[in-house]
Amino acid sequence: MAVSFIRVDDRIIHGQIVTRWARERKCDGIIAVDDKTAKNKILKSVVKNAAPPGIKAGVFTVEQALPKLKKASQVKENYFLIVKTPTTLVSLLENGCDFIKKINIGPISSKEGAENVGPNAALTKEEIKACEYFYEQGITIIFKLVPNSKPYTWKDIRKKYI
Amino acid sequence: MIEIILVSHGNLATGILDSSKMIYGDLENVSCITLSNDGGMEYFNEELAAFLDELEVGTDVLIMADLKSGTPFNVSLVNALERKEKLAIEIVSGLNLPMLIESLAIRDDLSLGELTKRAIEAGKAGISIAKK
Repeated sequence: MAVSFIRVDDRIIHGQIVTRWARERKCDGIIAVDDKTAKNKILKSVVKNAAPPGIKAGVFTVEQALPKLKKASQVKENYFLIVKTPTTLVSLLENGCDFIKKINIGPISSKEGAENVGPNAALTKEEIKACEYFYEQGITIIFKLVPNSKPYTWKDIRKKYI
Repeated sequence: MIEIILVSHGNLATGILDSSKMIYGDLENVSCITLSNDGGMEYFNEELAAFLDELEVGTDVLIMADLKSGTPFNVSLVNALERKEKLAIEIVSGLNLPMLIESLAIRDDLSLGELTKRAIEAGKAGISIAKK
């Protein structure tokens, strides 16, 4: 299975992940990728400590994550890959992370210049472009905050935003 | 007086504060900051940061969060670490009504460290099975 769950979540590792996803799906470790968080000591330690007990978590820059992900994609253990924004996944894809076939999008809070594409999902123009790029690569993008919330896909809604 | 801040996902914190007023009457130096789906983490962070920055340097602050490692807890922790030169901030999780009421009753006489310890004890002691 290797990298078994790929999620975009602007809070990276937090309550919803801790209490829900890791219980629903097997998770042996979390690889969180965000340049800004990985370079900020305080943010990095808080995010790392938010992982559930018994699950190891690391916070990496894109550059640091590439070899880790490559290794994780070849082992038996199940790793969660979590990024703060879809654009990070574009960088990973362009650098050879070809195991990305299905992306779960969790909360992305509204910010300036972002458009609400659904509840708690506000995408900037760049992020919309990223979703469109995944779509063209045949990657499924599912918007789903928690395991039992109603999902919708980028395919369902893309025409309204491009 | 030790400043108490309640933080939660949605309105739990506001609800607990409202309930505590029913038992305790009007309260000073207790505030709520809540995370909402509309505002999200950014707004929560801005509100908490603005609140903390208005406190006098050296103020003791006890933040009570609903869920360990949830976003309100994590963002509080980041803000606390960023201000460790200016404010003494402790953060506990598992916010409940017994924790808050006990803390309100004893905070005038205790140091921040002692209050933090007693808040956790009171929160745990408030969980029980009714004897039949």
